[in-house]
Amino acid sequence: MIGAAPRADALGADALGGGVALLLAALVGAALLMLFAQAGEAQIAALLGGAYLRSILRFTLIQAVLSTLLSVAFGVLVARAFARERDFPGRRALLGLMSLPIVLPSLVAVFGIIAIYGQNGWLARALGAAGVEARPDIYGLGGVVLAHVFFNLPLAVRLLLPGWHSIPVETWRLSAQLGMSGWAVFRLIEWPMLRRYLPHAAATIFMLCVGSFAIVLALGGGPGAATFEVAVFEAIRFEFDPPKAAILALGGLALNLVCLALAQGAVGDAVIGTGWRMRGQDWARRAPAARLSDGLLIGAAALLLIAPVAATLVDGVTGLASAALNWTLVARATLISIGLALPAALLTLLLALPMVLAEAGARSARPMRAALLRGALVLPIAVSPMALGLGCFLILRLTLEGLPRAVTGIVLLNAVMIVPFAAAILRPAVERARARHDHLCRALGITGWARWRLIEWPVLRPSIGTALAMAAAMALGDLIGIGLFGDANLRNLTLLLYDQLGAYRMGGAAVIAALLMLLIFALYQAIERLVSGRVAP
Amino acid sequence: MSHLEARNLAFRYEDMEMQFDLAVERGAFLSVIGPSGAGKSTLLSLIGGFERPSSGQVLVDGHDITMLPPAKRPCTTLFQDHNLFAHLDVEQNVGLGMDPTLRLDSAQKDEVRQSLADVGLAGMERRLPGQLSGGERQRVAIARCLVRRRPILLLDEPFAAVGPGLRREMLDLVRALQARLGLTVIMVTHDPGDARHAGGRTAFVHAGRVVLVDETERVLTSAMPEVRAYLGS
Repeated sequence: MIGAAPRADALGADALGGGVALLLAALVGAALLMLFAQAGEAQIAALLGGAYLRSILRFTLIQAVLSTLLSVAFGVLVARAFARERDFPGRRALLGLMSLPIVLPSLVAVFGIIAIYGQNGWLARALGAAGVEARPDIYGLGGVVLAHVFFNLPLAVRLLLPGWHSIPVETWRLSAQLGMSGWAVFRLIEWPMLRRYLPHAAATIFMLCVGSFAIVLALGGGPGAATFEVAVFEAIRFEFDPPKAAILALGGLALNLVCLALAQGAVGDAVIGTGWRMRGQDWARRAPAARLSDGLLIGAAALLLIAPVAATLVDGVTGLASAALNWTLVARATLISIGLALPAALLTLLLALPMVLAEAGARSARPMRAALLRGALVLPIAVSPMALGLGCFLILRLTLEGLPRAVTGIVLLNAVMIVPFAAAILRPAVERARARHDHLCRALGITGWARWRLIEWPVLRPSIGTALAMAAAMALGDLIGIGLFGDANLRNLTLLLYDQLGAYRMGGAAVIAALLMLLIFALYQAIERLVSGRVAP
Repeated sequence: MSHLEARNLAFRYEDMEMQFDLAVERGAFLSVIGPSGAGKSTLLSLIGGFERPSSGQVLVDGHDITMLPPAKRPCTTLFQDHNLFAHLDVEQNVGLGMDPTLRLDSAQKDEVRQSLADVGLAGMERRLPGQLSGGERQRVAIARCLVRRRPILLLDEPFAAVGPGLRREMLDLVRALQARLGLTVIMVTHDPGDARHAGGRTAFVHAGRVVLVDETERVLTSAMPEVRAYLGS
């Protein structure tokens, strides 16, 4: 008579998490079914053989390969420099900077990159002042790759640095004692480590570049330069051709799944690392030349990241007076941005938290169930945002109209897309809390609401605050949702920025980009302070 | 009839098959010793309800409690560490033993304070665990075990983290409380000295089995090869 585990106490939370997972899976499933229903067979055949699809595929793969190679190569060097220089002022801040691209909207970065590297950008002006005439063309393959390196170099550093931290201190001491040369250290110690860490990092970055949307949309510079995501967006927004969009979305989805298989399905966790624990010991006294090269590498990476952000703020503030902007429209868009982002962030949390709690609860006793929940949590990454968005759009078109449809669609799409990121923030905290407290709670019979009120909430509060703040920041940068569901009256700041960029009105773009960046920063801080409260000792 | 009985309690951990048989009389103090990895803590987890046996039974006064969740068992466990919630103060931590929703009436609050006084922590009610020494934290946990009023106290290497002098003191405290309240105590320890100091009886666990139970001195002087090998004499 020994079947059911003596753990009926956790049933409530388990059922809730399972229910949410089913709901999420049903939504994704319905969206995909809708895409298949919309894409007629004849059209699939026609498009599959066409030159259009081939050109999309070619551009997508070329830019993704180039972006990945550059990001990873530069990333290895920078991560290595950070690993070797364990103790210099500003190290923490610089590593913190590596998280910036997670919350920075792509279009803001695009503006920053144009402001630095564009035809009339800071670089061109600096060169001009030095007597060198340069008219760089930022639009096209070069600009797309540059923007992707901006976003993915920090990610590469975040994914690779733990590799260096996994090398024991004794190994470094041994290498110093044996008098290994730099090359020997690389060949015998670092390369074997990289062989474990590089494939995952490269596959993750490749997948993000293949699915890139806003960067390619704004910097691609022509009909030939499109990813599937961009093609879907254009097919629905400019041509309003749902069958064509559906086929393109399915194409993007297929490519995404291939990349996901490459990345071995572990992307959800790896996208966001957790902290930078140090071993606290210098592993060798180092030659000045090596330290100089490390310093130059770290400096170059920092400049690459900081320059566009700084340019955006400076251009935005200095252009405030002269920008030809409809301020009523900007104010309205600001309110719309906030009004859509906050509910989306809240919904993200309501979806992610029960699933993460249920997953942690099922881990030891029901590994199968935990794996399913984990799968549901990365589902939105597996399905490309545009495919999911279009699917939702096609479903909601049948049931709702006007403003309710738009708001429902935007909030729902953003919430679902951000779930994997929120889960990645919540999971370590939930697991740590469970490891520490689960036995005790079960021993004392602290269950249900009492357990949430007395134990989980106070312990998880800081992580919940961070997750909520990050979700709101990401939702503020939404372009896909507003692009699919919005109309002339429902425009957020991102869409306004896109319009300004599209019309090459750099003055207005600067102001909106800076405003959006400051808004994200302020909202992030406010939410984190408000929700996290005092940190439990 | 024994007070507590483990009957053919089978459990598998990775490649290790364990099967425990054990009987403990009411009011006894039983130390459990044996090599690390032999299954001492697993035995305690099975009795406490944190692990589920693949077969076999745990009986208390003849009643089968094998299927009961930990909180419903007539046992209370003191873990090696992490016995306290770091964000709750001493009084709240003990109060959770009275009522897991922490809604206490004034009589219950008095009892919490009394139990804190019993373990020598009167006046520390408002402290957070982080402000206490390791020994004091374990005293708080013992106070909570007291207010739970369970007849069986399970100690899982409870004083491994405190120094030898303090250890004796804590053991004496547990012994005194046991005598006063008539508790049945099972203590897992990796230090035969703890068992010797506690007196009572001792069980020797080896390779997933209880191979010897007797008066502590007799176990520690047993000629059994496994015991000799473990004690290194």
